[in-house]
Amino acid sequence: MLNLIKEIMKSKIVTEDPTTWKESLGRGLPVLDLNNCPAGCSRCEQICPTGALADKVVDPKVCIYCHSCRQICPVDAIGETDIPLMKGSLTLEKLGQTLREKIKQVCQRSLHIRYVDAGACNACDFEINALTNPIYDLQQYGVDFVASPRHADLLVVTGVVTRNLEIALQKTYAACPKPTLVIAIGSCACGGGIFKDAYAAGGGVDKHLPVDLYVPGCPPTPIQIIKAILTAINRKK
Amino acid sequence: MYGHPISKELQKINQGYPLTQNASVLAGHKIKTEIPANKLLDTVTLLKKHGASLLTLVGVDEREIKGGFGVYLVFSLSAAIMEIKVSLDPDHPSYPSVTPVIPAAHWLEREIKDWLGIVPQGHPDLRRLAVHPDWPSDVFPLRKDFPAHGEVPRVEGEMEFFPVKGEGIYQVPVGPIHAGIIEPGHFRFFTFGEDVINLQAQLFYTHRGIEKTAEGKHFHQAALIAERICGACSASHTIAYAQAIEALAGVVIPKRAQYIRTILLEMERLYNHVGDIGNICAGIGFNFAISRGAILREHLMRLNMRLTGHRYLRGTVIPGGVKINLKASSELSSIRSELSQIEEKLCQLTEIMLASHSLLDRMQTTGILPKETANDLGAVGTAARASAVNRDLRRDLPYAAYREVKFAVPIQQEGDVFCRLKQRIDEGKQSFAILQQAFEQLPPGEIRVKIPDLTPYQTAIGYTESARGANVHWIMSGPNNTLYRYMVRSASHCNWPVLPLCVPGNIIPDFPLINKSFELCYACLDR
Ligand code: SF4
Repeated sequence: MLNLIKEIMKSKIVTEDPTTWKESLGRGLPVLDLNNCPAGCSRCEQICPTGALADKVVDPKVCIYCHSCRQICPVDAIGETDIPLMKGSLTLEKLGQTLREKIKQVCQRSLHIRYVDAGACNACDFEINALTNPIYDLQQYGVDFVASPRHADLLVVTGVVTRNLEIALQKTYAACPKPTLVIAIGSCACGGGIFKDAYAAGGGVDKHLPVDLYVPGCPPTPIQIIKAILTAINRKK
Repeated sequence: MYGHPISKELQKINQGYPLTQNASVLAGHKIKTEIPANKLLDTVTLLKKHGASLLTLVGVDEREIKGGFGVYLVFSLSAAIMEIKVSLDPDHPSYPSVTPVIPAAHWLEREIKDWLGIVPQGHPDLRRLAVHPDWPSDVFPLRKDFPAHGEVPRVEGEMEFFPVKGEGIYQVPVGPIHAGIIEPGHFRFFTFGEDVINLQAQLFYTHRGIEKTAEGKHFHQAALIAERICGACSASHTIAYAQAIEALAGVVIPKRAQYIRTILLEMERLYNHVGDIGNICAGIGFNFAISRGAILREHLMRLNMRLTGHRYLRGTVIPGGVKINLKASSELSSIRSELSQIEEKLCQLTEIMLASHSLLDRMQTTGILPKETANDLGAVGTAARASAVNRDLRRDLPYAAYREVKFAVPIQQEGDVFCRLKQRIDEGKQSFAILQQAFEQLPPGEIRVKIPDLTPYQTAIGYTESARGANVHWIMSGPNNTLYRYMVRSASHCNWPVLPLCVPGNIIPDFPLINKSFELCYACLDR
């Protein structure tokens, strides 16, 4: 007991200031350098397991960030950039604006999140879990996870939406007060990932619910997820 | 030719079929044979007498290549792996269930009924397991005539729970979506007051169809699928998969690659164990340990990132070797010294935990898994070792570089929540020691060999001892270097049937604690 109290007294603040994040975000979005890319070579497109790479462009929602394409490229013509956040809509600008208005309407300063695993491999789930650890401390932004969809402003969904979870996901969405924001986290939720065509997998969240924001990555890191949530509530860091 | 002591007795049973034996790429002998279905029970009884334990049981639709269905049973026994096949009728596939002799087979046999329509006759419980009540009864997705991208229509149906009746007994349904940030599954508690009388579960919510998706894929592409079965066991699944492919191809990977794989596996075990040590305390609201555990886990995840470029170690392993070289550098030495710091901090944390009376009070005698149950049902990993079952594939059938590093396999006696916590603490210490040895002894040389073309329709297994226990991958090769059938038996698959047996007699509020002490993975089970 004494040691416990001593250790607690010794505790220092470990929570990080997001402006100081130097952590690597891991494997980024592959980009082809068309000037270097030899004509007639399509090795990267052939090796891509998801079909994300077509006509020399990578679709960030479909990519699983395996970098098989980069490894097979004979001339090193594939670099990488940060994985973009994607808004769910037709014209990005217009949608960005509606999203912002929606958020203003939904939540003033704080945001309550209900999380649903709709058939993930649990990597995204562990990363979302990590958001509440003392290092990331998501609660400091007025954002927290709630146990019931009835209390939620935002639904965070991971996974491909399996056949066996489709109904549970829809019921959870229906139980949220409207309007509800929906964020799809991870490659599976964004575009179905590597399982998108499987008989038991539903090809991603937007086949089932309207999605406001996509956070691709396999899995996206906690930093990417926090940035996404803060973007969603228009408090970009 | 050398012979395993069991071969003579087997030959008496499998008369007329050849018994092939060869040295396995992984460990010891590899013995394969086919036996007639009516001799199956004799054979498994013989194997049980010799102390064999079931690693996996796989059904294969071989109608287009061999004119029928096949069931493959793979056992581990001292210094050998034995695969037994029975061939079944193409129209009415059935065989005598081995569950009455080997209870550990019971979920595997229910699964092959669900996925392939192969009936294990005499199985004590043929309710559906893997397919949900709204699946049509005549859709078998792992049969070859079911298309990989097929749609499964929904039909009316109810979950089948064994009735538990009596005055004052209530049912408490929980899930599939839970309050916390955890994976989905449905639990049905039958309670009397606060006491749980019986617990049943409907799982397989996250079933994605992984095995079917891998069929027909090139083995390099399927490695990416293996990597995504489970987040927290990515490395152990991919390495088990790669070992199966290497066994099929008959290649031995370079020493350096073996060491690097060992490092990856132990890094994975560590971040899991450290995270679990903290997280078990969430079941009793011991906040100090929860946050300290979470901080240490995060540090380990960041070390993974610096070491391999991925927090979950993805993209590091391929059939034939590894993709990362871990060249000596100042970064590598700083990673090693940070590991030592984490070890020290973990030690401080666990000392405080183990001295906390309220922690001991909640954890001791809670959720007991008796040794016999663990043995009979084939429990694996930390859960089994916490119940005095002395089994660890790293030592028993060594792979990667485990033959060359020194480590102990700790065990506990009581099988309660506390023992499962203590087991992780003790194993964590060993992992730190293995890591430092592996970094120290890391030999120079190549990190990858080329995999030659695979002979079609051959079978092999690969296995690893993950943080949760044995992950066994069974593969049958297809034409043009593809997979014909891929079966993943994860540690959680072995341990899920055990969990409900540890809950009755405890109160509902202890369930989260018991559940966390097993730390079973849904994605690994559901596939
Ligand atoms: S899925 Fe893999 S191969 Fe395809 S574009 Fe993305 S990183 Fe490249």
